[in-house]
Amino acid sequence: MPLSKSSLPAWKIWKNPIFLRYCRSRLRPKKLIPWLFISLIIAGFLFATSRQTAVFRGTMELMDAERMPIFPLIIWQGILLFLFGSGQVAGGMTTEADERTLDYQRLAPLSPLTKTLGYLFGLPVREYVLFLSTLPFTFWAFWQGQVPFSVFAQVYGSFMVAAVLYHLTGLVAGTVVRNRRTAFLVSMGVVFLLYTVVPYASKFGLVYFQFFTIRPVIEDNLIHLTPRTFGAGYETLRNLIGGASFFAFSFPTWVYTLVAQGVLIATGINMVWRRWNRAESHLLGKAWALALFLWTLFLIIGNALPLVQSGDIFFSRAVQSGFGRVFTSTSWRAHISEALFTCGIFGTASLILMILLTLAITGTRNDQVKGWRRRLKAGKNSLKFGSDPASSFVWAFAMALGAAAGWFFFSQGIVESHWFPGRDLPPFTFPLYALTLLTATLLFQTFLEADGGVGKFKLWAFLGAILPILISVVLFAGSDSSTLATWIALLSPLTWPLAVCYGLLFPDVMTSELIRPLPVATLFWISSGALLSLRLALHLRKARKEVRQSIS
Amino acid sequence: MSSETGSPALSIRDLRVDYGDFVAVRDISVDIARGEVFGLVGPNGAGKTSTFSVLATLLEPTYGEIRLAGHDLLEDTAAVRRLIGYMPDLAPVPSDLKLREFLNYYARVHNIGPRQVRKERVEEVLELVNLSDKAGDWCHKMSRGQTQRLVLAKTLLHRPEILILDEPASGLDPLSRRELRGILRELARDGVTVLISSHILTELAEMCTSLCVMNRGEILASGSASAVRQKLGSDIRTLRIGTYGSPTEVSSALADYPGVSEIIPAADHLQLHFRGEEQDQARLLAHLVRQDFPITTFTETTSTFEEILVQVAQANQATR
Repeated sequence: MPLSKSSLPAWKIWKNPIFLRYCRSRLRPKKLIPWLFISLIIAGFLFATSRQTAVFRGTMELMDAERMPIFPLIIWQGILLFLFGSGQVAGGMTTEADERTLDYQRLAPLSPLTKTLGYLFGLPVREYVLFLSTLPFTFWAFWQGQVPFSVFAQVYGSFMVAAVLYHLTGLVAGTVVRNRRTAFLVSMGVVFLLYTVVPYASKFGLVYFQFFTIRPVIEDNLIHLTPRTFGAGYETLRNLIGGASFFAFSFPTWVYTLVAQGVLIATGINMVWRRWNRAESHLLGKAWALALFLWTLFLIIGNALPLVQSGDIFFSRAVQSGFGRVFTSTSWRAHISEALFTCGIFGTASLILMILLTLAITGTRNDQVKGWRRRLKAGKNSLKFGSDPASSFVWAFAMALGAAAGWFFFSQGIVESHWFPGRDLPPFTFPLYALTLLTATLLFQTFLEADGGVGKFKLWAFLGAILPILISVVLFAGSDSSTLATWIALLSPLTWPLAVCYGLLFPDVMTSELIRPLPVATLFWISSGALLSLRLALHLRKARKEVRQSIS
Repeated sequence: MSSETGSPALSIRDLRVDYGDFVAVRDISVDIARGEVFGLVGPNGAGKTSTFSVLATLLEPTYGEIRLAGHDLLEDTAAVRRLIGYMPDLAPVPSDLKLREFLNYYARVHNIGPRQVRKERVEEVLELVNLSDKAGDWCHKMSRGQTQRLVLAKTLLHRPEILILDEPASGLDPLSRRELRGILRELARDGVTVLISSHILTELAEMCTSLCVMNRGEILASGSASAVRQKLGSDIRTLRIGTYGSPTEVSSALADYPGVSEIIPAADHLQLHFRGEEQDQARLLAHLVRQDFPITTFTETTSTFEEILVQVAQANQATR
């Protein structure tokens, strides 16, 4: 009789065999002690220098000086957990795939969730230990700096949730990317982008993205985390920020951060779960992808629109106000061209997100063939709606329509605000938005699904979407080539949302060099794209029929 | 975890595996009784590994109904995973664990407990595969043969009812192969159902109670070795008869014997082709013994069986 018993519940992480396996292999004293030594030296150095300088060289009170090490320590802890931890998770997963021992895990009698949690907390276990080793310094700084415990809980609660989120990106990267080094770089790159590029995206109206980081929680508690002398200015700032705005509501920043990151964590777990459950599964189910997309749009709009009233949604205001929004010049006024640019950015961001999700939910030809054979054997004459082998056309269509509605709502909120009295969106705006996004999304979707190859798709996506932008940037640099540059740039569907907002909604806004080519080129390329996507949709229909007929 | 009694160890109905347009396994059906040592043989690309990957729950078939010890493989995967032990082709081991840690980890995965029981079981399997003295060594420092034995130990940890071994002897030296055969025989005696695949028929013929020959995703023949041979259209065996001294007399005596052809005499033995069943082969031996010929050995070389497979493989290549 087999000795194997029912598997452990997933929540008993301390008994999780995968977690314990990595505790064994990654916490061997021979490797742990040198790392511990390095980590403690760096943490100790940061603590000592920042504290001692403030205590002995500064003029501040002892309590304020004790707060000085808090920030340097958070940065070091972030490097340990966010960067090294995420890289370790991605690298560890691909190592198992490389060594082919991952197959053993697949047939281990553990639930997919148990396996996911085992890897999620097991692979970066050394980084967690190193992080823990730095905490005594943090405790001292918080205690002696008389920082309220609630602040510690908010900051480190968000910190840990963010760590789990980033490790999960590593886990997903390690599950999807086959090359160990690439997976390692991808996961570290995601963290790097979140803290460098994404904050800038938030300055263009995409405020929601900043909640993927711990920055808002840190900013919200800045007054407690820095010496009071530094924090005086922040007090006013904090009152101005007043938590995370969402439509007419205002949430505590840490709560909103946890919710925003929680949805992504759930999505990441869902992705890995699907892969553990069925190795051939798509990363996301079609319904989940649509729901995630609409939810993301909802949050982006909900975060952005409350900023219209104050003007904080506009980049120029952020630039003018510098580091803190407290010093904003009273002479600042929003300009309609910037508003249209912000609307265009929203459309482009939605389009990119849709393309990524469409990539995740579109089946290959192999999926279709298998799906059909399975269904025909079961006596069914159609693929199950929403299943992996079924077409993603309807779902991409629904996403594009949802995005057009969101884009319209977002634009209306900005353009018809008090900043631009007398301006209303033209009545053709929604149909135009819908046509633009449907055309662009379905071009990608139909090409991907009818052709059935991601490799070929990537090449054409680069040639069709990225290359024209690069060429046009070079041409724009030359003063006489703006017409040609415009025509070439608009070859790329990624530029269409910007062109639609800037070139078709309010012609009076355009600069003289664009007033002729931009509307014509925009209409020409979008109409051509619409015809092409229609043609590709018919081709897709034919291709899917052929797959069905090829199966006897 | 107990399996349903009375049902066959394994029942496959209409199993199909596709990779795009390539059909790796084409609607095969097989039943395997409990305690059987079942050999799956065929040239490279025949569909053996795909079939075993499906049985090991690593690959989802296009369709098919598979029941292992009464459990539906697609519906009750967790139960099936507790019943089976799978050893892949060129079995890998992790580079960051020692032998005992590796086995202890999988003992935990199978929730074998309490701790003392787990420890004893780990030592037991280490002893079984003759690796007790290496228990503290790193997994990746093992030789090919030791690695195969270690993975076999891991596979046996939870006392599976059904063992699925994909090309277990590939890369092994003759001594390791012999050891492996010994272990498998012992397990079969204990009632474990063993499924073993190979493209080397000699490896399987000695230990399997039934065979199945696959080619291009289809089953060409299955059953006992002789039934398979007959089904594949060749009942010619190659016999090697060792003699004390020159085999000339034996050679002359067999020249007219029914079914004998192509006699090739050598210094102390002769080789011949013999057409007939196993009982005919026994009668031939009895005939020689009755005539008082100085026979030292009487063995059937499997070369003719191998030839069949070579023909199958060649036909396979020719039609590609």
